[in-house]
Amino acid sequence: MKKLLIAASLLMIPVATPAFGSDAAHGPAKDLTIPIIATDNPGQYGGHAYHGSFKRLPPVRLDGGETYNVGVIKSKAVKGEIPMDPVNRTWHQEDPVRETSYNQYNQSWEQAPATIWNDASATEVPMGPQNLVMPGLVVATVPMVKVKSVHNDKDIAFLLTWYDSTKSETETMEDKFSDAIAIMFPVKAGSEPSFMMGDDENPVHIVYWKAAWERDIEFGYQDVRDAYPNYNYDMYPEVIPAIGQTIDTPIRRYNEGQRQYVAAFKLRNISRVDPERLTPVEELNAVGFGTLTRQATNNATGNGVRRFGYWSVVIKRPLNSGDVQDAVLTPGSKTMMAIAAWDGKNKNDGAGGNRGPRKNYSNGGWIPLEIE
Amino acid sequence: MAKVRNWQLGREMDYPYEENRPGRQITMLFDLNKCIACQSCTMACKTTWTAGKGQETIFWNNVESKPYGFYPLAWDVKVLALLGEQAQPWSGNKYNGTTIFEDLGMNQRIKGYLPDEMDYAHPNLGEDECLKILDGEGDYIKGPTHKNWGFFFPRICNHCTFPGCLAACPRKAIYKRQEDGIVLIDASRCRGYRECVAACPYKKSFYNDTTRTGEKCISCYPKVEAGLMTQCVTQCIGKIRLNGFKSADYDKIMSKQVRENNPIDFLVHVRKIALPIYPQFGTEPSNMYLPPVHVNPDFLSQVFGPGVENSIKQYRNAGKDKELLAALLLFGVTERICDTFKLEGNETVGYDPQGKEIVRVPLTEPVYIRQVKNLKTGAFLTNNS
Repeated sequence: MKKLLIAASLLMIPVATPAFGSDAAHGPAKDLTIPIIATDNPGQYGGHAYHGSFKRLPPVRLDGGETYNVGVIKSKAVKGEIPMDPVNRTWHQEDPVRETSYNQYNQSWEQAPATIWNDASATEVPMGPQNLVMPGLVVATVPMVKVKSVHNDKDIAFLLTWYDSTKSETETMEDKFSDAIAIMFPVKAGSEPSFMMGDDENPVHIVYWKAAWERDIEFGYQDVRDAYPNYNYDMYPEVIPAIGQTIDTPIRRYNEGQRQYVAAFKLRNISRVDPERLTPVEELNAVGFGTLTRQATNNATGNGVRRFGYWSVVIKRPLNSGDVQDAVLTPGSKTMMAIAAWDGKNKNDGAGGNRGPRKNYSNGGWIPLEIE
Repeated sequence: MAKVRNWQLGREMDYPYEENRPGRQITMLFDLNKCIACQSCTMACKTTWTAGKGQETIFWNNVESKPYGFYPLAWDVKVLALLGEQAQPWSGNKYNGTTIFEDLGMNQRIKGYLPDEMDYAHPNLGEDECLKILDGEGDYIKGPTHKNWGFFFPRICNHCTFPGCLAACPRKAIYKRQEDGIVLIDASRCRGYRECVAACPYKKSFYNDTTRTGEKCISCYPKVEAGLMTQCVTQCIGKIRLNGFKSADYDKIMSKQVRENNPIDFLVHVRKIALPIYPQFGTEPSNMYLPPVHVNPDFLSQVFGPGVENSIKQYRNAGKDKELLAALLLFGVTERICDTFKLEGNETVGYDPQGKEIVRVPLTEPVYIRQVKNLKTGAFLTNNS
């Protein structure tokens, strides 16, 4: 990166970076450590600075070379297992001081080994504010999502990358909401459900990733102690001191009787309270707004990583899971998909951050998906 | 938006769903002249329902000291500001301002705000302001001073006819029961969007940090189904509360065909002595209050609507008004819900739905005069002498 900046200044090209720029309105500099050519000024979307297009990203390669499709998502056929890493984790260690990344040999981004995503073509999907049902958004808070897709003979995976200046990954506090993204397919092949989460005749299949679940998996189920490390509480009635339990005993150790004090846990609302979560995604079905329902069996997996203000999320699911509630995707066919994204931090009207219907959806609804 | 009829506003108003009233409506009456803020109700509720993990800052029942005590912080002031602080005009019994369902912004379903997590951290912060204990440097409220007055304000979920929480839930996970009008959250369907927390103008829908779902007052439905009053009513040592069912049928209310022998209907619809809390919010709350007689009437009018003057006049006269006294004396005398009551001579009698007598209370307690001295032994029986 340093090399590039020096090269640019030698060529007398005006270079400015938000990190060095004087405009304080663009938020904390830490989130915008990637230098951007000043002539393509970052636009203001939904209250935070946004680069406008992934094509204008600096030569830092989050996921390899960029060949862009317009208006269609193409899934590339690959051989072998599809890894769940959206970026090369061993390689991309962020260095906040030098504002760059390096590996253990101090090699820079350009020398990073290729991932499976390098040669997959990308599609920039413009997002619009959901304002068809209330409550909604007035302006898009996630204006653009970049999609790549690969598949082998068994699974299909999607790499979704978007810019979000704030990392929101807790739902353990009254007024905090999580960043999230979801992809949607028609359940019946060839059908064209309403892009508004399906309709009565044509159900849709949704795979939903959430940053808070990513944190639950990494650090254990986030509870009151994680949100308020210094809190004290005399005693919960469900806690049994005689067997060594304290107020910090995690709820996954609760027996059925104790779970009655944690109502949604007892009722197995595992969309919300799942202390033994294995994957940060869940599969759902819907037949219109307000009908979203979790599937009994979860076949999809996911993994999300945050680098330089970008979320990179891989969602992988079987092409044909055998579950009648899941969409069947066939290589060599054309179908469609839609995307929804949430910026958990962004408040719209004082009623809290993005969640539920306060979301961004792929503009125009369905996007054609060509599976190679 | 559908048009619904809200008798507390004296007009039709907008609501996201069609009008659908329950057969009968669970109601709680509070005599604010008698509340001493001992928080027995708060603890009765807390120990029964919300003592578990994640419910640390949840109080389905709370008692706040008005005018400056709040839980969560500044809830009513903030909601009134959304409606236009001083612009809530009444002409007679008709409300001419807007409710939380009307005059919405472009991305709004309901006018509301989501409290900060710290708003729940200090219940009743500011309670001493009206007593000027903190006068001087410690005051956090500056502004026009007023004559010292205050009252204690116990609040639970109002189980509204047009609930803001129910209207706001994008998943339709909140429902109002047809048999008794209790509003409940389906904890297995909730996805923790907190739209109900933002929408409820009384801020009586809460968020559980551990389960990450919404939780709210369930009106002790296992007790109510068994014909018993709720925990907060039965544990009230001041006997300020009465639990029961009132007529929920709009047409009956309007044609005054309410049941005069039902204590709740009698106090709410016949005598109109019990008044709704912030009727201008538009949710038609079911809980009714007997306003405190010594408080600034302007403040009371803002909180309880236009019926305050009539209510206070009757309350001051209750000693001479035997029929009214008969109803008021049913407060806190039994755990069972009275379906009807009757004034019999110097006694008021409460009956269950089958017409069986539940309780009998004298209007005037008999006076016993104890002897000063035991005449046999010569021992003093009082310490008067």
